[in-house]
Amino acid sequence: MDRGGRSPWITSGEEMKMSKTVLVVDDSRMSRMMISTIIRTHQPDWKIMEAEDAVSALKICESKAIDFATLDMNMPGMNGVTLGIELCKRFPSAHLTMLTANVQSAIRQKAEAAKIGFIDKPVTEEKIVNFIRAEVST
Amino acid sequence: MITLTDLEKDAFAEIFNIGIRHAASSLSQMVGQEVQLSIPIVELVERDEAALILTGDKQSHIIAIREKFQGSFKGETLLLFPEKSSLELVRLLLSEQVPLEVLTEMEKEALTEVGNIILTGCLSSLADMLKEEIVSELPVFTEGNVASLLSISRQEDEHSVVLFLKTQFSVQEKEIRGYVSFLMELDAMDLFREKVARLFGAVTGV
Repeated sequence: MDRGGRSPWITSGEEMKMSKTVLVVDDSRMSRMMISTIIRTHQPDWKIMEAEDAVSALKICESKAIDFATLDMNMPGMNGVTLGIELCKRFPSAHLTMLTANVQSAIRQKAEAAKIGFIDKPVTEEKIVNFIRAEVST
Repeated sequence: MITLTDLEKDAFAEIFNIGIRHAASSLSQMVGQEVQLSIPIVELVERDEAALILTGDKQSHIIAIREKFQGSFKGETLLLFPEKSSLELVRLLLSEQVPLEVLTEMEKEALTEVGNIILTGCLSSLADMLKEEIVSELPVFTEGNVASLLSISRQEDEHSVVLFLKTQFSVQEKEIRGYVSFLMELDAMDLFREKVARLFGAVTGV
């Protein structure tokens, strides 16, 4: 099966198959595991990196570029929106979304102002697939 | 001394119910089953009396996930399970995504995240309804008897009065049951009354 990614003859349509890098930031190991499992099932070639807080996330990003990131809101230390703003500066073309149970309008508005998407927990396959699909097809 | 009229109890229960319904919907999405809710109980009670209302027995052993909140309103919200229900819930949640050998090890983490999703979601819809921002702290997993849980949760006098709310939920097919409870400090009671009055003013006349 042609995975496409590194072929010099890829067309724009096949570009979708290129391997992407996803950063999953959540202080809950269960949530990280669920999100990663869903992405891995649908995009087995994608590289998935996990971080349990903003500091580790930023450290990972010092050496790796990211295409996608899911960000929890309430974490020890820096919160998800603040992290998202920082990641936007470093990776302006990356697709970022909050993935949180903190669904208050105040938080949604902060995310929207920073051009970060918003998905409410609980994590479901449908929500994650919609996120990576919608973003890939744009 | 602060007292609540029956109409106020009704109005408060309705406000909290919006959060609780959000919680039930999250839980239902997680377990893929219908979640039943009881009618909420709202009372002004002393902290140690709250323990008794919660389970009928201060000494019964339970699992609790607690989340404190602050902002315009201060207090804490709790998700409580008898031990057996919590195990059943973890099995139901993780069986597909997590190998069996990791399941036991992850039980506490899994329950903490379930608590986070339910309680933070619940607080969020409450905040939106009251048009106030509520800042919730990180969820904390604890187990033990109810009396000790409620007294360690704040270093305050066990006779201090709190606005207390309790709703029972259950997933019948899986014999999972538990409680969502709120304990709110009375410092902001005037503001809370005013906010509720704005929403239900015509009905309660408060």
